Amino acid sequence: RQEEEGATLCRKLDYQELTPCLIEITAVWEKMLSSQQREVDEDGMEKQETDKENTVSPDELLECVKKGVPRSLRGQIWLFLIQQRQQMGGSASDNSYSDANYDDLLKQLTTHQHAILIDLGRTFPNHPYFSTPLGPGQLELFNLLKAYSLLDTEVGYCQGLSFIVGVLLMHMEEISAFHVLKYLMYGLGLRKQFRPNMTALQLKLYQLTRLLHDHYKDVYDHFEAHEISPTLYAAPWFLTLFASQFPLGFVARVFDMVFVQGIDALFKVALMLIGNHRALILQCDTFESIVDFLKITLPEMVQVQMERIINQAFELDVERELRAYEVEYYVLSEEITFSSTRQHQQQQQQQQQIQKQDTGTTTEARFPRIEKRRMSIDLEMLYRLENQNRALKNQNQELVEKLQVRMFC
Amino acid sequence: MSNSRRNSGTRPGAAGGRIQQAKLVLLGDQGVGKSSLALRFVRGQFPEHSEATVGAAFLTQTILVQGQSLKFDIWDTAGQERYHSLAPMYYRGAQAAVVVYDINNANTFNRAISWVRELRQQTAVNTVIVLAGNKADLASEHRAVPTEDARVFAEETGLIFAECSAKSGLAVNEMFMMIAHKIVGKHASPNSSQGVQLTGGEEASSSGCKC
Repeated sequence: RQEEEGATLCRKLDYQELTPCLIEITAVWEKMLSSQQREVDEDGMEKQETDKENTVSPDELLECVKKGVPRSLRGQIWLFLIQQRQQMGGSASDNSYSDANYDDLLKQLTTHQHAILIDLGRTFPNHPYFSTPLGPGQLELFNLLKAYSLLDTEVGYCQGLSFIVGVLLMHMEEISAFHVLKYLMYGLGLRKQFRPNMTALQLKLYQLTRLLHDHYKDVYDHFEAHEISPTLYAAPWFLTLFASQFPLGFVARVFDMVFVQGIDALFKVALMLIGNHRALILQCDTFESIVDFLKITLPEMVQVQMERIINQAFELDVERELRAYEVEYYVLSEEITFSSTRQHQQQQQQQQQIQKQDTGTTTEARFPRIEKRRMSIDLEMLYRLENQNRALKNQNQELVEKLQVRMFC
Repeated sequence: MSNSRRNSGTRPGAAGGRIQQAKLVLLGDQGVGKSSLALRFVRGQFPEHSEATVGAAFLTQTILVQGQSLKFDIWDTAGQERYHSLAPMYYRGAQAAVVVYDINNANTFNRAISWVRELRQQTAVNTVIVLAGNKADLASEHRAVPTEDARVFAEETGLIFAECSAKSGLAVNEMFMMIAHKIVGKHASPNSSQGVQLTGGEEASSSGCKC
C-alpha cells in the first residue's frame, strides 16, 4: 500500500525542479513543519489563532521560501505558509464565503458541470496524473472544480481555474487543495478576476502596462508601436498563475511566491520576464515576431534564466505603484463613463467663465489648473469611495474596453 | 477608433513579390474545436492531447493563392462566455473571422449565431465571415444541427458556410483557401468583390462547403 502511495506521489510530482533545494534548507523546513505537526498531535486538533508561540516571522518565512522549497514537501509548506499568514491576520482577507462542507457540496449538482467536463481532459493533458480519461487525477479535478462552483456561485467555473487546481492537486490531497483554493480565491482576492465581467483582469492588464511604462519605457514604446497589448499575451499569466504555458518547475516557484507575497507576485514575475528579455524583445521588429517571442519563446527559456527571474522578482517591490495605478484605472474608467455628460457640463461652465472673464486674461492658462484640481479631488474621493464603487464598475465592461482601445492604439 | 494599419498591410516579399497579411480570428463556444481547426490548418495535424485555450493563442500560416503569398495571423480565442469581454481585442481589425460550432451540439450553434451578429455590428462590412460546423466526422451518430439550418442562416447572413472536421481534415484547408481567395481577390480589385473566382470551391462544396 505504501508502495502504491509512493507511486501516486511520483506521478503527481512529475516535474523538474527549478532550484533543487539544498539539504540544509530542506532540514529547516522539516523542522518547522514538525513543530507545527507536534502541536496538532498534542492537542488533537489544530491550534487556534490566539496562539502566537509557533508563529514564524514573515521575514523569516520569506527568506526560507527564497532559498528554496523542496518539491516533496511543497504541498505541506504551502499549507504551512497559509496557516502562518492567517495567524498573523495581516492580509485583508475576504471571508464572505459560506462554510459549506466539502462533502456536502459534492452531493449537489452544479450548472457548470458541462463546462468543467469539457476542460478535464484539456488540463495538463500530458501530465501522468491527469492524462488518463476519468482517472483519479481528472476525478479529483472534477470534484474540486464542482465544489468550488457551488461554493462561489458568482464565479462558478471559469476557464483557467482548472490549471490552478491542477497544480494544487499535484502537491496535496483533494480536501487540502480545496482549502488552499478557497484561500487563494477569497483570502488573496484572486476570485475577482474570474467574475463574469472580468473587470479585475482588465485592471491587472492595465497595471502591467503601466509598470512596463515606468520600468522599461523602451519596451513599452516598442509594444505601443506594434500594437501589442497585454491582453494578447498576459491574460493567461494572470488567469492560470503562469500554469498553462510555463514549465511546472517555474510555475511551482510562482506559487511559492504567491503564498508568501500575495497576488502582487504575479506582476513582479511578469515584469521580470519581460525585463530580462528586453534586448531580445526589442530585436523583434514585427507584430508576429513579438507575439511569437512572448507566447512561445519565453516559456522555453533555460533554467538558469528562470531562476534569475524568480530571484529578481522576490526582491522587487511594486505594491505602491500597483495601488496608484489601480486608482488611476478607476479614475480613467469614470472619466470615460461620465465623459459625455461632463463634456456637456464643462462646455457650459467654460462658456459661463469665459463670459465672466475679461477678454485680455489668459483663459487657456487657467483651464489646465482647474482640470488638474478637479482630477486631484476626484482622486481623493475615489480612493475613499473605491470599495463602495465596485458594484457600479461592473457595469463598465463596455467602456473599459473602449478605454483599452484608446490606451493601446 | 479602430486602427487597422497593421492588418491589411502588404510587405515586400523575398523575390520582389509582395506578401499580403491578413488577421483572422477564431470564435465559438468552449470545446467546439477552434484550436484544433487552427492546428489542422497550420500544422496539418490533429492534436490528440490539446490544452484548453486560456486567453488566446496566436499562430501564423503563409499560403500561396493566385500566385501571391498570403500570411494569416490567426488569433485562436478562449471559448467560454466569460471571455467575451476580451474578444474585441482579438477581432478588432480582423479581415476574416471563422465562427465555429459543433454540429453535434445545438447550443454551440446558437452561440455561433450570436457571434455572427456581434461581428456584423462591430467589424467592417467587408470582413469575411465563415460559419464552420466542426466535428462533422461524428455526424452520422450525433448530429444535432441539420446542415440545411446552418446553410440557410449562412446564406441569409452572407457567410461562407462549411461543415468540416479538424480530426479527419475534412474541408479544413478548403475553407481557409476560400477565405484566402476572398481576401486576395478583394485586395487585387477592391471594386469587384462579386467577381472573385473561387478555385477551391468545387472540392469544398463536395464536402459540404459552400460559398
